Amino acid sequence: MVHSEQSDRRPGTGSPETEDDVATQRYLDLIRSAHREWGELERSGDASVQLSEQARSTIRESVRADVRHGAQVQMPPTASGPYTMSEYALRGLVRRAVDQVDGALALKARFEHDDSGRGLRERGLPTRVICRISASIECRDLQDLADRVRTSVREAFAEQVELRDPVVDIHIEDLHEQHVR
Amino acid sequence: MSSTCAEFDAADLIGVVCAVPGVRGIEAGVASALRTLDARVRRTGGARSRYGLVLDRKQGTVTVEVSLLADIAVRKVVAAIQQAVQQALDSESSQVWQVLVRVQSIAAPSA
Amino acid sequence: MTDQPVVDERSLALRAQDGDIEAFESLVDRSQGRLFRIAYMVVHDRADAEDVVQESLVLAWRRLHLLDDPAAFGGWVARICSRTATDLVRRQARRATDAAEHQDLDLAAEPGEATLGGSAGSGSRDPARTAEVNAQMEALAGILTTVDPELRACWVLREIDGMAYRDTARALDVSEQTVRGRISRARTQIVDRMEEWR
Repeated sequence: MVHSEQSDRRPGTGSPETEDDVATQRYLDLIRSAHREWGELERSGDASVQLSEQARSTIRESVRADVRHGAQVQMPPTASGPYTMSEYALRGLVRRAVDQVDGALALKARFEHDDSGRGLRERGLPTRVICRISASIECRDLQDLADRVRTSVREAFAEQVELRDPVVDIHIEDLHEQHVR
Repeated sequence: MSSTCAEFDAADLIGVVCAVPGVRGIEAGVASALRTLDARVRRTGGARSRYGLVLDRKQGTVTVEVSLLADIAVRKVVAAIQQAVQQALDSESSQVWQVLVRVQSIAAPSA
Repeated sequence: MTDQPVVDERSLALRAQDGDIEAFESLVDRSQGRLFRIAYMVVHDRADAEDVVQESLVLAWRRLHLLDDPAAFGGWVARICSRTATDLVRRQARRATDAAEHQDLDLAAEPGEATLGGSAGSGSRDPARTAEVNAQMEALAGILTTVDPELRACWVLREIDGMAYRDTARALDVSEQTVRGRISRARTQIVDRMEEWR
């Protein structure tokens, strides 16, 4: 199967049809200038090239109203009775614990559970937390960062839900820049 | 639909739960929405449901699904909810109640 | 002064999959303009374009857990948007055809307004509404209504979204060769129209 190279490159090279070339060049110029203009207008907040504020607000509301809670995860009971947390709430707890460590950015968390005989939408006590994170490029000691994140997550579990023994795995899978606000 | 003055129903208990510090509100999950629907359709006695709270007198259980604020530790708010509901129900009977709390979400702390 | 992380789209998508609503809202902020322009090019109506984008982004939120490659969020949501927009145009065309068949003059397009695409907008073609859209967008969208509908989505994804041929092929579920052919034909039609109007 032979692909014509010309449809990928900008035309105007090698074709004998000068009029076509000129017309095509006008077309390409139009597209390019349109993109430039739209980009500038969008950055300046111009409504003629993007959603109205009303539409954006509606999206935000719909998203907030439609949250996937996931399964209910067993927690150590309080003195007054048993309780569970949704996977969604648990991940939020971990995310906040990671984010509050200087130089760390939470990406995604996963749990392993003590799952003896649970139903489909129920999980047992968390036994392991796997935290995927991003580290600041300015971080000199990634091992130290991982340890600090681990400590923060364990403290959050102990303080918030009295879960004292989860294993916490930290996976640094990305680096990010920091900028000063 | 009125209850006898000695009897709490689901609607009253929702008020009790929402008054607990650290509670943002009731937040029903799929399970309770279905249960509410089921109870209405079958009109069974013994179980009273409102969206997010199921009160089962036969079983002696209350299940409530909540959204919390991040200011206070989760376990403290949960214990407070359980105690508040148990106290409210204690006033109507000597039955021992189990209060199961399901924390659906925790609102991020305001900056 | 505080140090804030610069978060790329892949990281935002991962956090959104993790349940971080603010991360998803950042993705919405970054993509809504581009998606609006894609939708407008296909449906040629401001109100409809806004509906398409809203529907697409909410659908993206609901299906986010199905996105295997978080780095591909931009292309993935553009696909959803172009599909939603194209479906709308088809539905409107069918309604216009049905109305004409049943000789329901209230619903059928006004004589002379029917285009090759066969779709009338949801009634907001009046000058006041059109003025709410950037002039260049309006001009291109107007030209596009004369381009075969089959070619339209292809051209929009390539020229408005800047999608690579391979990704466009995947988005429309056709071969890359078909994409190249369609874009070539669309370009020719558009260039011809542009020259006609000079």
